[in-house]
Parts: sequence; C-alpha cells; structure tokens
Amino acid sequence: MTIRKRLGLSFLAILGLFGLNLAIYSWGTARRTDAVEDLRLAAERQLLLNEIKQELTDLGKTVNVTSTLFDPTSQAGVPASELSQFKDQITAIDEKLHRFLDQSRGDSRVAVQTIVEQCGLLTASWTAAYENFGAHQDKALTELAIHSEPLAAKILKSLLPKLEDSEKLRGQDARMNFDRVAKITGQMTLVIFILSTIVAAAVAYLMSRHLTFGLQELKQGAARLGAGELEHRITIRGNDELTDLAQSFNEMASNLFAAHDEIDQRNTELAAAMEAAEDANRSKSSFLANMSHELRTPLNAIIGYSEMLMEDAQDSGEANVVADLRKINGAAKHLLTLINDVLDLSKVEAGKLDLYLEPFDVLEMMNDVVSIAQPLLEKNGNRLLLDCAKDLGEMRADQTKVRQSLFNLFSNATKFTEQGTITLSARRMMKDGQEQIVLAVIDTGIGMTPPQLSRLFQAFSQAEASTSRKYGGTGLGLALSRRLCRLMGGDITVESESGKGSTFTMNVPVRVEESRVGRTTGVSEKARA
Amino acid sequence: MKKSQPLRPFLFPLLALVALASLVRPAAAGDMAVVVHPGVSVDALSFPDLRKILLGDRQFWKPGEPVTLLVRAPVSSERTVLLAKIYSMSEAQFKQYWIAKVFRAESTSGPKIVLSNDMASDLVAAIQGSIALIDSKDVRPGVKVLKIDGASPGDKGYPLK
Repeated sequence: MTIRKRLGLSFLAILGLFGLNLAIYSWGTARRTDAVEDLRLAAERQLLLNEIKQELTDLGKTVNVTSTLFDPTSQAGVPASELSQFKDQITAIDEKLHRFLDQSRGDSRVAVQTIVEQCGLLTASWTAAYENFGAHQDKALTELAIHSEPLAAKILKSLLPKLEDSEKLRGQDARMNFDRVAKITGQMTLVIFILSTIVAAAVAYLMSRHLTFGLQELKQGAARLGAGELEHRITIRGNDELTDLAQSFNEMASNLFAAHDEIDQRNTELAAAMEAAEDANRSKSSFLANMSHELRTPLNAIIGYSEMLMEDAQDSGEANVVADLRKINGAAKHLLTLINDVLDLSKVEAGKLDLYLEPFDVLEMMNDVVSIAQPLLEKNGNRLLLDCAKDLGEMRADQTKVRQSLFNLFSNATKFTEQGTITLSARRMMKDGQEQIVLAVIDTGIGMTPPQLSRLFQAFSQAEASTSRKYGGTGLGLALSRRLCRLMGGDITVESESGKGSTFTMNVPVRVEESRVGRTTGVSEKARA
Repeated sequence: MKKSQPLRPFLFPLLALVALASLVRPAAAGDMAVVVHPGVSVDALSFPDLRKILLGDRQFWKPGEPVTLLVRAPVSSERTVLLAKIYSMSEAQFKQYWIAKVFRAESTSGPKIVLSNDMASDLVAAIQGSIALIDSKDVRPGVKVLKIDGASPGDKGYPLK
C-alpha cells in the first residue's frame, strides 16, 4: 500500500473517530436534554399539582368557613363580588387542571381525567351552595353536606394523593433516568474518547514506524552507496513510494557501478595511451635534440667558411661572388636559428633544458634587447617608446632566456607593425603573491582575431598560414618564449584586437626559485600550454 | 301628654299578653333534644362524647360515616344552650374556634347554619350522619333522638335543659 493511501486511510480513520465522537456527543446531549426536560416537566407537574391541591383545599376551607360563619338571618345571600371572586378562583383551578391534563399521557391521563371530572362536579356543587347561601340555605347546606363534602374528601384524600404519589414516582423516575443518562453518556463519551486516542495513537505509531523504518533503510543504504559500496542493494518490503525510492537508489547504484567500471577501463586505456605518447614525445625530443646537434655542426662549418669566402671575395674584388656568398651565409644563419629554436623547444619538452640563474640589471638587459632590435625597428619605419619604472633594479633569473623571450616579443612586434609605434614598458609589482618584473610590448600593428589568439602559442603555428608566407617565421618563437617564462615561474599573456594592435605581457619572478633549476617540464609543460 | 293618649287603650292588653307569654315560655322551651339522621348507628351518647362530636373533635360516627353538624343561627335558644353547655364560649369565640379548626385542617367541614328547627329537622332527616340540637317540642318524625347519659329529653337528669 502506498504512503499516500496509508495517509489517506489514516486521515479517514481519524475523521471517522472525530465523527463518532461528534455523534456520541450529539447523542449524549440529546439524551441529557430529554432527561432534563422529563425532570423539568415532572417537577413542573408536581408544583402544578400542589397548587391545584392547595387551591382546592383553600377553596374548600372558604366554603366551610362561609357555611359556618354565614348568618342567613341577617343576609339575603353571598355578596355578588364575593361570588364573582369565588367563581374566578374556580376558573383558575379549572385552567390549571386542564393544563395538567394536557401534560398527561397514558395511564396518568386517565387518572387526571377522572380528577378533572370530579373537580368539575365539586366546583359546580360549591358554586351551587355558594349561590344558595341565605336565600335557599337548606338547599345550600344539603348541597354541601350531600355532594360537596364527600366529593371534596374523595378528591383531596384519595384521588389527589394517589396522583401525587404517582407524580412523585414519576419525578423519581425522571431523576433516576437523568442520573442514568448522565452516567451513561459520560461513560460513552469517555470510552469513545479513550478509544479514539488509542486508535489515533496506533495509526500514528504504525505510520511513523513504517516511515522511520523505510527512511532508516534508505539512509543507511545511501550512506553505504556514498561510501563506495556500489554493489550494495537497499531492501524495503512492500509496495509504496519508499520501495520505489529504494528501487531508484538500487538502479542508480547499478548504473554508477557500470559507469565506474567503464571509467576504470578508460583510465587504464588513457594511462597506457599517455605513457605511449610520452614515450613517443621523449623519443621525438631526443631525436630532435640529437638531430639538431648533428645539423648544427655542418651548418657552423657552412657559416664559417661562407664568411671566410666573403672576406676573401671582398679582398679580391669579386663583388658578384660576395652577393651569392652572403645569401648562403644568411640562409645558413636562418637555418641555424631554426635549429636552435627546435633544439630549445625539444629540450624543454624533453626536460633537458637547464636554467642558469644569475642576478642582472633589468634596464640594462632591456637596453641590450633594444639595441639588438634597432635594425628591425628601422626596417619597417616604427617608432620606439620606452616606459620603464625607476624601481626596476635587479632580478635573479636566467638572463639569456629572459632576453631571448623579450627579444622574441620585440622582434614579433617590429615584424607585424609598419610605420607604427612600439612601446616597451617595464614594472616591478606584486603578482600572484610574489614580486615580479612585468615587461609589456605594445604595438599598433595588424593585431589578431580571437580565433587567431586561440592558437597563438602552439608550436609551429602563426595567426594564419598566409602570415608565415607574408612575414616569415616558423611559429616557434612565441611557444618557446612562453615555455621559457613558465619554466622560470612566470608566463606570457596577450591582448589583441584585429587591425589595432597587440599587447604581449611577460612576467617573471624577481627571484626565480632555485627549485626550478633542472626541473623536468616535458609533457606536463606542454599540457599546461 | 296629648300625643300619648291614643296608645293608652292598648297598653293594658299589651301588658297582659307579655305577662301571659312569660307564663307560657318555660313550658314551650323544654329540653334540647339531640337529633340525628335515622341512619346513624348510634342511639345514645355520653355527654363527653356528645361534646366531642359537637366540638368537631370526633368527626365520624364510624369509619365512612362522617358527622355533619347543624347549628341554629345566632339569637336562638338552641344556639345559646349549645354555646353555654357544650362550647362554653361566646359567639365570637365560637366563630374563632371553627375558623381556626377549619384552617388548621382539623376538621374537613364546619357546622352548617340552619335558620329554624324545622329546617334543622328536615336537613337532619335528609343528610346522612347529620346531628342537630333542637327544642324537644320541635322534634318531628323522620329523625332519631339520642339519649344523653342514658336520659331522653324531659327525663330527670337530662343534661341539656
């Protein structure tokens, strides 16, 4: 049974108990009201009967006293006012008798009816006697002696006492009935209340027990699943929402278990692939390093001998040979630069590039770079602005690599800017919790689009393929410069807008940590890039 | 003087009648007879019993047979004898006595006042259990005369003379 049904049934049960309580209360109230009404009616009838009896007695006494005291020799009859008052009293008694009769039912009504009839005869007899006092004294006395007094005695000493006894019994019955009803209704109310309390408590206990048990199982199951016991299954008997929830937990655990297995398998595969890739990369870097070394040896020979031949040709005046030899020398130098870059990059990736930390003056280093790059500035008609802080001072880093990186950025700026301005700024500031030298190269050149920026620091990559054709270069410079900076604990970032220029910012710690010397970067450095 | 002269011729005969009446009255008054309804089961009473009955202290001849007292109206020799010999009360005390007795419910009915001995005789003859005190000369057939202390009216020692 679902929790919803259980709650619904519990609600209905409590509602039923509430209704039962209400019904018992209404029944008890009705019974008590009836009993109180019976009691009130009995009391009212007793009072009324007492009044009737008292008034009949009083009237009888009045008649008796009148018959005793009335002096027929001095009075013709009872005065009219007295007679009228007498009749009014009779009428009042008669009304009360009929009211009493109207309230009577069953056997009691028969008895009351008899009394009413007898009283009618008595009052008629009294009236006759009253009317005949004096004028027809003998008739009056005869009426009194023969009719009135026996009737009065019968009514007052027999009929009314019997009725009084009957009414007393009725009153006692009404009181006993009231007591009984009050007791029964009180007991019933108490019993139903206790029953309701027990049932409500039982319903609440059962619901609470069911929910608590289910939730406890779910909590323990979820804790075990959360702890990694994915093979654990939550068991809840029944067919309700908690069972559904447990089923969902179990299904989730099954899915997690399967996914976990798959992830483990993928991780194993990835680890193997990564190891293979690292091996391949190391092989490649080793190959490149060895090959670069082997290539540089003949190139140095070509450069050296071409320079010697140029000097000899100049000395001998063979101008046409000098031009050719200069081209050979230039091509060889370019090839050597490329090979050096490839060698450096491969050393970085192979973790074989060492840092040589030394203190040096930052401004002096910058001046060196600017003087070296002066011909490049002049080539494209660019203007240089220097913006250096006065507190640059010294830094302790690999001077060669800092200079190489800055020169690379500066030469790039001169390469991609024509008739523009190149600003070189330097600041000493706190960055990432340590004091750093921040060098920025700002040009007003061609700039780059966001897609071009996204692949800017990849080796052998320039903004576009056409860039390489138009401006030259291999695309190794930026990648190498960034990796050199990162090797020292710094970085190179770029902001650029196509057609407006670029800003390359290079930051290197003022004091490069000694621990970075000889640190293997390799693949991890590549991944970071 | 002239005004009294017309009465003088009647003065002697009037005085003679009064003197005659005074001579005749003792013989006419006689003893007071206690008369009851013929159905009453009692033929003789002692004077104390008679007194109880007439005082309303005894209200039944026998069970189921109530006593009905018939008393002459004021200013009658029977009533005078009754008040003097039985009640030993004045007229006012007699009335007070019965008012109290009735209102204390010591008696279901008071004495009934009759205008004459004839009426008394007639009612005694008509009403069961009734009793009256009348001049023995006025006793009529249809009623029973009780002996008091064993004596009838006219007998020597009769208490109601």
